[in-house]
Amino acid sequence: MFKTYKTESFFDEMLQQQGQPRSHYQVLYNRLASLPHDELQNRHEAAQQNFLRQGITFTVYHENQDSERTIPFDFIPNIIPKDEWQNLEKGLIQRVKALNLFLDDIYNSQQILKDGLIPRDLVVTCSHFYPQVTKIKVPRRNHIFMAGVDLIKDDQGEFRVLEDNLRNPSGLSYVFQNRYVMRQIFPDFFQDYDINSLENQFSHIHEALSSIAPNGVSNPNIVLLTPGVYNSAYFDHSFIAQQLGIELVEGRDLLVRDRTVYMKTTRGLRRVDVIYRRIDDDYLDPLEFLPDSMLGVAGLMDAYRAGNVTISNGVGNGVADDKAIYHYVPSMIRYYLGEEPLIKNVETYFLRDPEQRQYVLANLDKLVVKQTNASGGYNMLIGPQSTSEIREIFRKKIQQNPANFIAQPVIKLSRLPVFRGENFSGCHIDLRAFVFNGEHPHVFPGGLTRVALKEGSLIVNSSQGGGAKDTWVTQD
Amino acid sequence: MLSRVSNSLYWMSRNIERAENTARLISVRLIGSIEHEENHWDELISIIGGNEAFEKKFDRYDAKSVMDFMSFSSSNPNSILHCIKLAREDARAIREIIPQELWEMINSFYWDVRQFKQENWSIDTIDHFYQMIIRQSALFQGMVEATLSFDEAYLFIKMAKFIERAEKTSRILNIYYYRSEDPDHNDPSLYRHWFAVLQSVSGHEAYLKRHRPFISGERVIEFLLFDDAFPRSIQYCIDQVYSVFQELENGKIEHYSEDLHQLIALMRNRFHEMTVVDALTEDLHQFLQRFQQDCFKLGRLINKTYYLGEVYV
Repeated sequence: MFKTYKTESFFDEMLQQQGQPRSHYQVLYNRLASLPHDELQNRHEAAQQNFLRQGITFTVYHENQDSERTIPFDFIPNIIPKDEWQNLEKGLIQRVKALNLFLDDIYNSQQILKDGLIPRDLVVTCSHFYPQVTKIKVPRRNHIFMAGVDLIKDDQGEFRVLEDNLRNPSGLSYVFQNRYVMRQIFPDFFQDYDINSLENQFSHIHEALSSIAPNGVSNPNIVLLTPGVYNSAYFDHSFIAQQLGIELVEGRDLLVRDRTVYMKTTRGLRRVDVIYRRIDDDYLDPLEFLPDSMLGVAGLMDAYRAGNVTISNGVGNGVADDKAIYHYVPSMIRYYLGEEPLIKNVETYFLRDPEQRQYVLANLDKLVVKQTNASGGYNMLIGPQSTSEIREIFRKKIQQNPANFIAQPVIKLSRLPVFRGENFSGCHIDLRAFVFNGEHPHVFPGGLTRVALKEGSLIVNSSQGGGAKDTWVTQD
Repeated sequence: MLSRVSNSLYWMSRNIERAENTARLISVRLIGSIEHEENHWDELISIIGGNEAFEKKFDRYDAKSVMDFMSFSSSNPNSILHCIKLAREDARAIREIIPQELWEMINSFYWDVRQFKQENWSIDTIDHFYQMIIRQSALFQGMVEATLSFDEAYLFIKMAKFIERAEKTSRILNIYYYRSEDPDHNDPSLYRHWFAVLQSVSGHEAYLKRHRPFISGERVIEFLLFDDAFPRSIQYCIDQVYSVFQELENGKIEHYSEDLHQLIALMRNRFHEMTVVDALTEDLHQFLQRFQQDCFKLGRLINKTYYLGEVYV
């Protein structure tokens, strides 16, 4: 089955250059070898069907109205050995801690700008910087209740941070569903593995949310604010609310009276203390941000300012996960914590800098160019896979507005085998790790492994042909 | 409970019940038309109140057009497909409230209905579809009973179901009564007609147990209006709505629920105090139309009392 499999010049998580499995994959490798193709094929299909029947679908935009898809699932898990994971955990906690200090600093004394570590204009011209929230007293100075950090491995097998997501990271529910389907349809794969269970994770998350209630309210009324069923991450919202045992609300379910937030129930109004919001800053409150937002709640920011409600993640977090600010995160770690960063960044070129721009424009065919305010894998140039026409379009766009772009060398993302019916082929993966912050930081074991299913593709986003895998952190 | 959630529970339940009633209505007509040529397919459209929309799309009331319109048409807001689609959307909006297995059931139901639409259905095979709808609705009700806590959410589902049923029985009776008034009808065809009416609400067996195989218009009407044990008679349904309301309010009448209480009590008393003779003397159509108006008022008062409508403002 793996006879034709080539690791090529990439770091393969499962197989070494000579085709031998790495030690933590040996057991699974043997099991796969013992199963006939037909059975794998049937179980592979059963897994996809299971997602559809459970209604774990996401909506694809720009297509016909009934476009609901499941995220393709591949049954070879991403297995991370315990030691490697423990190092990663430390690095993630360190990084999120520094990012939280940065946000608190930026919206208060701005010491880091005064000390000249980050150019002031980079911060204040960032479209996600919200002067409206300066000096607001955030409970526990906790701006980041939940962070999603996207990690990749380079061709040496070393983890690097590709992106921080500090606004509304999604995908947690898929981690659980991947495991659920995996256990239902591939129970035998778990034999002889001792891995971290996901069962008690929601108590950590609930504790973290309770700990940031305003004025130390005990037993706070926590709600999850969603844009509604038509949002592409709606399943995520609904699943998390259900597992946390909190109410899932839409903007129209809430109202503000006397700078206090209430939800409308069949028995009248009930006070809300903590809002785990899954709508973007711009839509939160039509009185302060986009005036025609139908998703938000009029007066919400006023209640926030009065300290009567916690909004989490904090408002204005986008200034810390901006693609340009990313470059400075290692400096932040040194500045706020006096430590060396445990997980490296990917090298980044700033196109606003004339020298770097010149280099990038001369090497467009070798680099990845990203727009600083885009996400979801859109508006990206992948040099080696691009045509000269597309490179010219980007060249023009960069010259028009260089500050909107950054460039990075093409990273040879690590790969894992993906089942293709007759055989397996190597596909690039990344890992979204989740970090929760309450009284203590907590890293969710494993995370969401995304895989670029198109042959040779580097884009793992589900909107562009990405799939998912289960993620195992071993315990022995 | 959030008002929006109650609203979704209420409409999820009504739409599934509505789809089931429509399926049974067509299925009975379909089977009846095997032995006897049927020329009254327009009655079905009248029962769901869709004549105007139907005539925009089709030239004549033939079997295939009527079934297409009632089952799959997107220009009919009460088509089975549309009802199940809405029920699924409501279920999706409250999937953190209802048990996972119930959500999966409704979700699968939706995909099955859609798949049937895509396949090329014919009059010979479509009854499988209606039987599937009826079974899935029964499964839904069974799962509600077996997996939901008997709290507010359950009560809203139950209330919606009985309101929908009562209204549908009344509409069926109202339209089918016209045909029995036609003097051209002979005895055997009338017998068949009333038997089909009973079947349309799954009441033929219960009726036979009570009245033996002696079917007369008056008795069928009495059975469908006033039987106190048959789950689709109007009196039974209204009794259920009344007791659900009592449970919701713990038997108390508060200021905010006073109007609602008054209306439900009035509707209920009317059925307990009147007899079939009264209804027929008054004129059955008038009697049923008043009841349908009351149902409409009832819906609005429920909205007002539990803020169901308000969230859409």
